[in-house]
Amino acid sequence: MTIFDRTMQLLERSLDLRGARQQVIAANIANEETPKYRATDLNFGQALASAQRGKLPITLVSTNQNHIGPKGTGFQQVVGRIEEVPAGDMALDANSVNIELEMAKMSDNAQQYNTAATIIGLRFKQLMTAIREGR
Amino acid sequence: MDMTDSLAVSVSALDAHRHRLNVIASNLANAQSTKTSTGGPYRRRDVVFQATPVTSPFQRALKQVATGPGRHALDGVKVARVIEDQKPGQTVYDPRHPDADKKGFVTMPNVNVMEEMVNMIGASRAYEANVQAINATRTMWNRALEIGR
Repeated sequence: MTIFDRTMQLLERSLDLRGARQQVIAANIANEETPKYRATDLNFGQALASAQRGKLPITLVSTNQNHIGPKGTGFQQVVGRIEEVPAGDMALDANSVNIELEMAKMSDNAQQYNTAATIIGLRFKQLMTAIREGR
Repeated sequence: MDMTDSLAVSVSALDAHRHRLNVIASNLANAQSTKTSTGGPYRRRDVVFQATPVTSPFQRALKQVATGPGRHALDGVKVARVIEDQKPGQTVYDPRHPDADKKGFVTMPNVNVMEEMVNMIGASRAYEANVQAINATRTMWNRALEIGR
């Protein structure tokens, strides 16, 4: 077992992306009453899922050690897309924030973040158990 | 990724909604004020919200993680200005009132107490939603700190 295997990288990137998504959702909630504000979301589920199946979005082959490629490897290359949330019934002030939806998204996002963080913590504990020879 | 940016966005909203509550409180307090320093009865005030970037490093940090359209995605909110409601106030017949006109009518402030109470509930719920957002961010932050403990 390598310490930072694919699972670890996936969890780590998932923390990055969910942290960023938290910002986007916080911005939507903050602008709940701002006229003409359009709600946005950070979508990365598909990109992360296809990366997990081995299809990374960018594959640059470097044939010389002086070549400059994208920073990071593997899952670090997965990026999210900021997209407008499809507006349902729009209020008179042309604001498309659905507060119930945003609160639900926020608690879902935070829960998934916490889950990933807990699993990372458990992986480290596992490692400590191996280092201490099970004692 | 920086959690402080999420917090900055939510705090800007807390600030804006507290300002809105202050304005509503002022409207309620002056629901019967027929005289002001500028003359005439009190006029109901309202806030205008505007989406505004919180900090610039904020946007930079996110660009590493996210691409795509939607530049306004990470805006906080601020009170752009406070406007005076220009709708006419109710006139009440009270010839003994010092602010009555020659016919004995007093122009009251254009404050509708019911409307203000509804706005107040709206403002305090919006405030609570942002407190929730801060709590969620705080929990995430703590969970990240617990990694490797």
